[in-house]
Amino acid sequence: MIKPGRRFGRSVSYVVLVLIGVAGVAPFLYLLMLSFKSELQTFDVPPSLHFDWSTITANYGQVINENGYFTYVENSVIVTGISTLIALVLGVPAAYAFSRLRFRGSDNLAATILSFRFMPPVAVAIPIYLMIRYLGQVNTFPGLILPYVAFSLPLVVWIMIGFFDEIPREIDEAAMVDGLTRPRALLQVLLPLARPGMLVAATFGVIFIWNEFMVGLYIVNSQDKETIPIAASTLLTVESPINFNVAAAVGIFTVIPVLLFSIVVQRYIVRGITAGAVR
Amino acid sequence: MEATAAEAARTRRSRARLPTQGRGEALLLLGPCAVYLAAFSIFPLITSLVRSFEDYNTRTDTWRWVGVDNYTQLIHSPDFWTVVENTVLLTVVGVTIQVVLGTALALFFNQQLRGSAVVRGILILPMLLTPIVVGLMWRALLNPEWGLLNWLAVKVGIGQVGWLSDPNVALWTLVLVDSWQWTPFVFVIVYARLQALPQEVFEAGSVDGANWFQRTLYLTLPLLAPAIVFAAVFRAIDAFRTFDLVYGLTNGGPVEATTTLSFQAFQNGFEFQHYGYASAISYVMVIAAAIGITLLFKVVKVRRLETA
Amino acid sequence: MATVTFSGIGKVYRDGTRALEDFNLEVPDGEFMVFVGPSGCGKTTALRLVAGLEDITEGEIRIGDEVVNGLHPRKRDVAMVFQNYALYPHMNVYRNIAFALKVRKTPPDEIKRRVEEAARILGLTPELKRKPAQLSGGQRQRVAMGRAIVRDPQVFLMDEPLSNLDAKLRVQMRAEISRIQHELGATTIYVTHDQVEAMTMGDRVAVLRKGELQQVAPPQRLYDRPANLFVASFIGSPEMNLVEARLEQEDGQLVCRLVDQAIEVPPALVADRPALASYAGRTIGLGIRPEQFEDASLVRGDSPGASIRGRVVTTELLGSEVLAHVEVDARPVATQEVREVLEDVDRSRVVDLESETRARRTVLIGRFAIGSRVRAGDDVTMHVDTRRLHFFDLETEAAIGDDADGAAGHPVGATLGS
Repeated sequence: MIKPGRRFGRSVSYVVLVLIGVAGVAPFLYLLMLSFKSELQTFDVPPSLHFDWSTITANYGQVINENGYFTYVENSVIVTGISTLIALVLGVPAAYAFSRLRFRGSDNLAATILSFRFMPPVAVAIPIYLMIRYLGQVNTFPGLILPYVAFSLPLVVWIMIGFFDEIPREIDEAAMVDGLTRPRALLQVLLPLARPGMLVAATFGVIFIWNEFMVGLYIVNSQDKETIPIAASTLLTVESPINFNVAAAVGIFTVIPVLLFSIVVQRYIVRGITAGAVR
Repeated sequence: MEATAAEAARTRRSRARLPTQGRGEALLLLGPCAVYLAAFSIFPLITSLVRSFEDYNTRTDTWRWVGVDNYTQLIHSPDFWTVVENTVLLTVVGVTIQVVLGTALALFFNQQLRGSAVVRGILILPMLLTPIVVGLMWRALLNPEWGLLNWLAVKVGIGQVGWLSDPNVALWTLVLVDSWQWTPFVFVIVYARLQALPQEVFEAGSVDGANWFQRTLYLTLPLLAPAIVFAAVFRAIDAFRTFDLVYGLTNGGPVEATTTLSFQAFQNGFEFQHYGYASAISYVMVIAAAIGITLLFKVVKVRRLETA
Repeated sequence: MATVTFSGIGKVYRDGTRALEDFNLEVPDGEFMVFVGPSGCGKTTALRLVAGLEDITEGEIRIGDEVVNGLHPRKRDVAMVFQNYALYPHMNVYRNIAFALKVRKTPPDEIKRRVEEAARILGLTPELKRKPAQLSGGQRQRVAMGRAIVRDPQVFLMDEPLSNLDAKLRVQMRAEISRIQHELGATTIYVTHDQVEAMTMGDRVAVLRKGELQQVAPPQRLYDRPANLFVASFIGSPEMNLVEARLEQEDGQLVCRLVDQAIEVPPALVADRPALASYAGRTIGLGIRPEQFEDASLVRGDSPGASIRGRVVTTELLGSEVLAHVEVDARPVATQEVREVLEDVDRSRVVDLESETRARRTVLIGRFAIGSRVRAGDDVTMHVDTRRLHFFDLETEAAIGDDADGAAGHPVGATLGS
């Protein structure tokens, strides 16, 4: 494309670019800053940039010690990790089947599975809670994991179908000619090739499950089993009087893992979102 | 050359019709997934439907069949319609804003300014944050006493705004925050599509005499349309289900000004324990979502999510 | 319609690659000018500079009398046919062709008239409602042409428009493009890497190599009087045979000595190339086109010329003639330019060249009449028609020609009438 060569236009663009960046990150930075301040300092507007190390430790210390945040982190990691793993184990072969094997009704079946992605969680929250209660798994990890897998399966299948479609059928055929059955071909030949796709699917599964809390609220009723979002939801409710600074620390604590995670997997996130829209 | 390509595709597909041996494989591969979803997605969904025709007694922990009573109650409840209105407004206005802004951002970033990769990376963040925390962030920013935004508003001359306290404003605040969080979603999709468009087509447009505005109007936007529509429908379905953000930002208030359908269902279920009634509300949502999904699958084919 | 003038044009890309160097050329109004050369020679770059799709680094380009440096493509009134057609995928054929007119706010009935006329000329009338995805390659190519001709621009630019078509279609379209261009009388710059296309279509052909203009001349002159070894090897299929020969003075005659054989240079040739005499005693490059060879057994004894002995390596029976590959005691010309041309064809040819150089035996290709009975392994005597020999300075790689000082080499014939 030809640049108009107009300096002014360019400078304006750069200003806009900076503004966009600020808009994107400002709320987060604001919260971060709040978490560093004491109650009194909060009322300084506009906020000063003077930070007191003792205040910071006090706020975060409270979060860790009194509210036992490390337990929540641990719980979140366990629940998210296992759920995502199971979702992959169930979803990848299914996606492979949809990609390679076409039989009567396979497209409809695929569409049905994918459509669950759009189901409102409220609709199933109560029945699931009742089911979990029936199975005696209230307030346990399996109680969380079971529904979470169900929630992320459609997404995993959707993303993996796309990735499998991109791998030429000839590779499957070569493997089968070499003597492998389809399932074994999947395991030994295609999985390595589909690894990027699985990472994308895993990324999205992780983000979704990590942030989930509605169903969790039903299932978990003791502090030691809460995941981070569930804990945050009870600590940060709009109604209860709140020490904003400690709350800010709680908030930061909640999102830091996700942020770190996303910096690592950034390109997978973009690939995943666009896997549906762009080929 | 095109003829042979089509032929090849046809032979491939017919080759894919399997003998019975394939059936076993299909079962093995699909079976676990299908069974799991049947148990934890389909079954609960059906249960929910059944429950919506029942009433739950907290004291005795029993269910009583009440037919369509829940639904009639819904239809006659003005609260319900307020909530429907809220949800529809949030969806329609919110998604419109997100689509327009997202597309504008995509076009803006097409200039490939230096450092834009960094900003693009920043833009992804809002989508990943736990909505509760997003609610907290914005509650801080919008705090009437010491929040930065009100301080700015006063400075600029608008005066104090009851972002979250004024029933007339609260819903729009929700729209604002929702858009802050999800415009990047539209942006990523449209931008990716934009980058994938063949440069030559735009060169041809230039040589043919079109200026930037004409190129964008007649070439870029029509070619982006499939991606924009995809993003719009996707967002609409998600916006319709908004719950987390409401919980974290306003808890439905003030006075149901920001209560969405999901939130109302949750409240009735979790707080009031009117499980039957809650199920009825949820099912209204399911039906609406079903319509939305059919729309999406008309616009986008399941297998080949490709465009012209 | 207008004249396109390149003055001292140079182009350097942001990463430092130089695509064009001191390019000077004038394309007069109405001429069909072809830019030809191997990949990377700068021909497409030169075209895009005229269109305004790339910025000019040095020099200026004029369309008509107007200097167009820095002018946005849309203001230049040029039409371009892209290699991959670049059709607007979401518009049907009618709207594709009409787009340029619509953008200029031409009234709808005028648009309709001109689009339908263009469609008629190109035989696209039944396809007007269809979209590019539904068309065949040839049809898409014609839509791309239609888009260009409907505008009646000052200049037509074509970037290898036929390279994506299969051979038969290509030949057909070549004729059509020439026909249309003559009908419209439009100044056209056509880029191709296929020298056959260049020769059959161009009023004049400009040969480029590594960003430098080698020679520009009407096709026949390019063939008969290549300015340097590059042009000599590039133009003509099969390639011109090039061997090293020692030019000696014998009994008042100039003779080319190849190891143990000699070819007399007819006085007429020497008269035409005064510089040749000054090369006596030196090794030069001798060029003989395949059609200058003939199986001596088929030639009447009194035909003028010389004879060369060799051994047949292989023969290709084409039905209308025989291509004989004959190995001869002589060193091939293996200069940089010749290497480049061979490399562009196939890497393995360069390897052959190296082994030939070392062995001092060259395979020459001759076009024999169909009556020839030679077979692989035979010893053969070839008759050489010496009325059309080519001579090259091995250091400058330039043709030894009209210049008394031995020819600088390039660029020859930058302006009309060389």
